[in-house]
Amino acid sequence: MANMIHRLAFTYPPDASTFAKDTDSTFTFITWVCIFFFVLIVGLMFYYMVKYRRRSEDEVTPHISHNLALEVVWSVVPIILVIYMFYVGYKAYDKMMDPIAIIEEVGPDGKYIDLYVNGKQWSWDITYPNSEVVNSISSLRAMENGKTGWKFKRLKERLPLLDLVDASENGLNDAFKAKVDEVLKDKSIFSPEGENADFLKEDLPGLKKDLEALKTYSGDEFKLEVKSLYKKYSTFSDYMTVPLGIPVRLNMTSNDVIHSFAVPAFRVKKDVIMNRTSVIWFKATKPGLYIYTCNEMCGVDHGHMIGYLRVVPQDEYYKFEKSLVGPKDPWEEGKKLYAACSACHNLDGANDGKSGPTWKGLWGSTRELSDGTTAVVDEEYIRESILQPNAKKAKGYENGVMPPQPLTSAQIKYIIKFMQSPNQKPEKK
Amino acid sequence: MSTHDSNIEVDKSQFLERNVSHHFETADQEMDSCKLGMWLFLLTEILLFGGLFVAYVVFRSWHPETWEAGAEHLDWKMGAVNTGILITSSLTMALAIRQAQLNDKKGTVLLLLATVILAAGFLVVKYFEYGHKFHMGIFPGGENYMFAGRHLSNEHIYFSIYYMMTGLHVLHVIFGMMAIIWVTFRAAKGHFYSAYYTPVENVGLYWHLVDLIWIFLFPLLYLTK
Amino acid sequence: MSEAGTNYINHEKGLKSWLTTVDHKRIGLMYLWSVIIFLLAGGLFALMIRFQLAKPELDFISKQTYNQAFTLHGVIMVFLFIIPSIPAALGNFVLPIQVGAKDVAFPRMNLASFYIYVIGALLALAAIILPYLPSFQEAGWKPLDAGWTFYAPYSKHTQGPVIMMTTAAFILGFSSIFTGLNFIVTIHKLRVKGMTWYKMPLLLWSIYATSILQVLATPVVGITLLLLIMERTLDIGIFDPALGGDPVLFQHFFWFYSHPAVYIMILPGMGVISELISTFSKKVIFGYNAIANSSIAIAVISFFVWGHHMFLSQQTTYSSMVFSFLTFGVAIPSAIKIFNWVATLHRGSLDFKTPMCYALSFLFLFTIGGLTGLYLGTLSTDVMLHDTYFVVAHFHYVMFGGTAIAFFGGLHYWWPKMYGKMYNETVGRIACLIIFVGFNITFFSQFFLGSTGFPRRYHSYAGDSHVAETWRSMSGLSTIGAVILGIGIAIMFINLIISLKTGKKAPKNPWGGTTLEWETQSPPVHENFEGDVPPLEKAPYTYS
Repeated sequence: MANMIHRLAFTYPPDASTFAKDTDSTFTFITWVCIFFFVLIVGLMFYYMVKYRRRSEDEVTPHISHNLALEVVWSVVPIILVIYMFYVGYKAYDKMMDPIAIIEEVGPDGKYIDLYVNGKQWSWDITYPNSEVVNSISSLRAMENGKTGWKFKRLKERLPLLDLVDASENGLNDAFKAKVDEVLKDKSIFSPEGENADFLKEDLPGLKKDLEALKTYSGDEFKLEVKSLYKKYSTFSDYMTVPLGIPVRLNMTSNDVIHSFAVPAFRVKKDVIMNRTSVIWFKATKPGLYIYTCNEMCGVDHGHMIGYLRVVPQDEYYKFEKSLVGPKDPWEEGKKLYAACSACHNLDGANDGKSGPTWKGLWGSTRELSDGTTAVVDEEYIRESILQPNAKKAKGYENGVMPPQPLTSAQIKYIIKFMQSPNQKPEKK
Repeated sequence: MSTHDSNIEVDKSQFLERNVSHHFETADQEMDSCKLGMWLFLLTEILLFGGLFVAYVVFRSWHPETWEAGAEHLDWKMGAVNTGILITSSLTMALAIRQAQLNDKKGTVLLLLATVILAAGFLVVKYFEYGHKFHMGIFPGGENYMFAGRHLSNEHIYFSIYYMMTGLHVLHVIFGMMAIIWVTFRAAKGHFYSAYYTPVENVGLYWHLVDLIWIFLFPLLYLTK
Repeated sequence: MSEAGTNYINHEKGLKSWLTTVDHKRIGLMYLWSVIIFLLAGGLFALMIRFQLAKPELDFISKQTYNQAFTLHGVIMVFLFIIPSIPAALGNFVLPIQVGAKDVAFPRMNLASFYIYVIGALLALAAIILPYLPSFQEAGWKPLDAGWTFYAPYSKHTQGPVIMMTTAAFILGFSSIFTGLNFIVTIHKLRVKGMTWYKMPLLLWSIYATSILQVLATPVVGITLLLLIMERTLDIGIFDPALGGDPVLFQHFFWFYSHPAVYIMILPGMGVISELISTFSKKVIFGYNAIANSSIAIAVISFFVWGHHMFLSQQTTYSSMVFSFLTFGVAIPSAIKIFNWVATLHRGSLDFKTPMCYALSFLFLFTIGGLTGLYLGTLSTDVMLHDTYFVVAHFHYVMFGGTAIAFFGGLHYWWPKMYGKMYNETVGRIACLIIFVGFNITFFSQFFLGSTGFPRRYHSYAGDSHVAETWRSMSGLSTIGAVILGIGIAIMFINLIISLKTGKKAPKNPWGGTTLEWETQSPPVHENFEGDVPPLEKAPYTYS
C-alpha cells in the first residue's frame, strides 16, 4: 500500500543513495511549506472572490490602508522558514560537493572506489580502476545500434519483469502467462526489420525457447529464471556499473564543451569542464537499473547523452571490474606516451636546459611549489599537472610553459604507472 | 554656479534664443532633467567598462607573472603623455563650458576646438603604440600574440584584455570627439549662452568620464612592473 | 484647446506621422504591436518544442531544428517580448499620463529607443532566417543552437549566426537602457505638483525600480556579448578553456545581467497588478509603503544573487552558500507583495471584469512560481533539479504566469484608454479562463518531469527507463496544455482586434480607476490633458 502511494506520488526518482534521504526530506519539507502557503493565499483569494463579489455599484469599501503587525508577521514567519531551508540545503550540499567527505561513508574496511568520468560530445567514458576505458553508450544511441540493456526494444515494455519479480509471490499467474503469449506473437520482436535485423534475428530462437520455458516456472525458481533471462538478453558492458554499499567517487572532466553528469536516483549532479576535474560522490543503497543524464546543452546529440547505470552487489562488481579488458601492459603504454613528454621532461636529472622538471625520483616525492607551499606528488597531483599544468607550478618553473594535455583518464593512469619506475619496467607480481 | 535665468537678456546679434521644449514647464526643469539623464548614461558607461575591469582583476590574480611580463611591452612614457593630453583636454573642456556661461562665443568655440585637437593627439599617440605592437606581431592572429611554448603562457590573455580595454576606450574617445565637434558647430552658430548651455555641459560630462576611465587604465596597464 | 473628437490617433494622419512621431502614446502603440508579433513568433517555436516532446522518440523535427527551436524561443521571448512588453508598450503609454506630464523627459530619445529596438529585432530575424538560405548553408552555417544562454565554449565553436544574434541582443540592450533612462528622469523631474514619491501610483514605483535595473545591469550583458564576439572572431582566450580561459567567467558575466533581467521582467508586472487589484476591488491598496519599498528592495538585492544559476558550475561551496542565502532574501519582498494584494481583496467590492480575471490568475500562478523557486534556491534540492524541467516550469510560472499574464491584464485595462473602444467582456473572460487552464496543464506537469530527472533541452526521450511512465504521461499532458493555451491566446487577441472595429465607445473612466490617466478622455488628446493638470491632492487608490 505504501508502495502504491509512493508510486502514485511519482515526484521522486527511486531513492538509491545515502543522499536521497536528506534531499528528499528537504524536498518534502519545502513541499509542505508550499502547500501551506498556496492553500492560504489561493484559498483566501477564492474565499474573498465569493464573499466580497460586488453586489451593487454603490458599495463603499472601508479604507484599510495598512497594518504594521500583519506586515511584521508575514515577513518574519517566511524568514524563519527560509532560514531553515537554507541551512538544511547548505549542509547537505556541502557534504555532496566535498571530495573528502566520502571518507565519512566508508565501512570498516575503509574502502571507496575512484572512477573517472569523461564527458564528450556525445557520450560518457567511464574508466574503472586498473582498466581500459569503458564507453557507456547512451540509451537511444544504444537502441539504434542494437546494443541496449534490452536487446529487444519492446520486450521490456511488454514484460515488466522487474516489477513482477517484486510484486508476485508465487510468480506465476494467468495474466502473466497471457502476457508472455502476447510477446511470442509480437512481430516487432520476432520479425525484426531494418539495420539491426540480422543482429537481432540471431537470438530469436533462444528467446522463444526461454519465454516458453518461463511459463512453466513458479515460486523462487521463477524469480531466478526471470533474472537470468534479463541478464541473458542484455549487454551489461554498456552499463555504468557501481557496487552496492561502497562509496564511489567520480572524478570528472570534459573533452570539449561544458557537460553535466547527473544521476537522478542518487540525487547528484555536477558540471564538467575541459581542463578541470570536478568531483562528486555517492554511496548506492539499492540495487537496480537507473539512468544518468547530461544536464548542460552541448550540441546536437545532447539529448542522447543519457545512459544506464546499474548498482550490483559487491562481489558482482569486482567480478565485472576484473572482466574489463585492460591494456596488455600499462607500463609499456605509459612509456609510449612518455615520448611526447620527453621534449621537456627528462628521466636522468641532468640539467641540460629542458623546460620542465625531471621525472627522476619524482613519484611520491614532496615538491616545492612556486608560491612557497609544498605538495606531495601523488596520483591526484600528477593528474592535475597534466590537465591544468599551471594550477600548481614547481619552484623554478614559474613561467609555466606547459600547455594543458587533454589525455583520457586511462592514458593518465598509464603515464603514472610509467612514472613510478621510469627507468626499469616493474616486475610482474 | 548660475543656472538658467529666463530674465536674462539674450544678445540676439550673436546668439539664437531658444525656447523650452513643450513638454517641460520651466527651463530649470529641462536643464535638470537633461543633466540627470546624462549622469545616468555615464553610469551605464561605467558598468560597461566595469565588466572589463572585472575580467582584468580575475585574470591578473590567476596569472600575475603574465601581467608583469606583458606590461614590459607597453611604453609607460607614451602612456604618461596620453594621460597628460587627456587631463589637459578635460581642462579645456571645462573652460569651454565656463566661457559659454559667460556669453563668450569665440572663447567657447576655441576651447572646444582645442579639446578636439588634444583628443586627436591622444589618438595619434595610440596609433603609434598600436603600430609598434602590430609590427612586433602582438595582435590577435599575429605570431607573438599567443606566446604558446615560449617562456610565458597565457600572455595572450594579457594582450586580449589590453586591446579590449584600450580599444573600447579609443572608440569612446572617437565618439566623444564627434560629439564635441557637433557642439562646436552649434556654438559657432550661437546656440549657447548664459541661460542655455546644457549640451556643452553634457558633452563635457561625457568627456570627463572618458578621461577618468583612462586615468584608471593607465596605471593598471602600464605601471604594473 | 482641442476640437471635440480629436485625440492622439487622429491628431495627425499618415504613415510618416507615425514613423516620425515623438508622442509617447504612439511610440507605445508601435512597441505594443511589435511585442505582440514576437510573442506569437516565440509561441510558434514553443509549439514546435511541445509537439516534438509529445511522445517518446518522436522525430517531428530533427535534432538540429529542435535545438534551434528552443534557442530562438528563448531569445525571442526574453529580448523581444517580455523585457520590452510592459515597460515599453504599456509603460510608454501610461507613465507620462499617470505622472501628470505631457510626455516623457526625452521624447526624441524615446523614438530612437524604438528604432534601436526595430534594428535589433531585424538583425535577430536575420540571424534566424539566414541559416536556412542555400548560400549560407554552403558556407557551413547551421541554425542557432546554443540556447538563449549562449554558454561558452559551446557558443564559441558552434557554427552559425552567433555573432549576428549577440549583436542583435547588444543593440536591443541599448533600447532597454534608453527607455529605462527616460523613465527615471521622467519620474524624478516631471511629476505633477503635489505628487510626492509616496503619492505616486504603484505602477510608477515598479517601473522606477525596473528602470534602475535596466540602466545598471544591461551594460554588463553588453560587454559580455562583446567579449563573446571577440572570443569567436579573435580567439582572445578569455572564455575558452582550450586557450587557458575560463568558461565559468562567462557564466558569471552573463548571469550578472540576466538575473536582474528577470526582475526587469516581473517588477512592471507587479506594478500592473497593484493597479488592477485596487481598481477592481474599489479599495485602497493594502500596504502601499510595503509594496513600494519592496520594489526597491527587490531591485537592490537582485544584483547579488546571480550565482544561484551556477550552484553546479564548480564555483566554491562558499560562493554557493552566499548566493543561496541572498536568494532567499530576494524572495521575501515578493512574498510580502502577494500578502498585501490578497489583503486588499479583504472587504473589497470585487468586480470580475477581464483585467481582474487576469490579476487573480496572476495571484494564483505567481504564487506557484515564487514558491517553487524555494526548491531551486535550496542548495541540496537544486542539485537534483538543476537543468531539469522543474526549472523550466518554475520560470514559466513566474515569467508567463507572472509577467505575461500581468501584461494581458494591463492590456485589457488600458485598452479602452488607448483606443477608446470597449472589447467584449464575456469573450475576454472566457479567453482568460482558457489561458489559465491551458497554462496550468502545460506547466504544472513539468514539475513532475523535472523532479524525476527529465533534463532540459532534450530532443527526445526513451520510453523505457524507470521513470518512463511519468515522463510519457506528463510530457504528453504538457503538450495538450500548450495547445489549449495557444487557443486561449488566439481568442484573446482576436477579441481585442475586433473591438477596434465594432467595440462600444469607451468612457473616460470605464473601470472607476483613481489614477490620473482616468481623468483624461479615451483616447487621450495629443497633449494628454486638456489644459493644465491641477496639483495633486489625494493619494492614489482613494475611493472614499
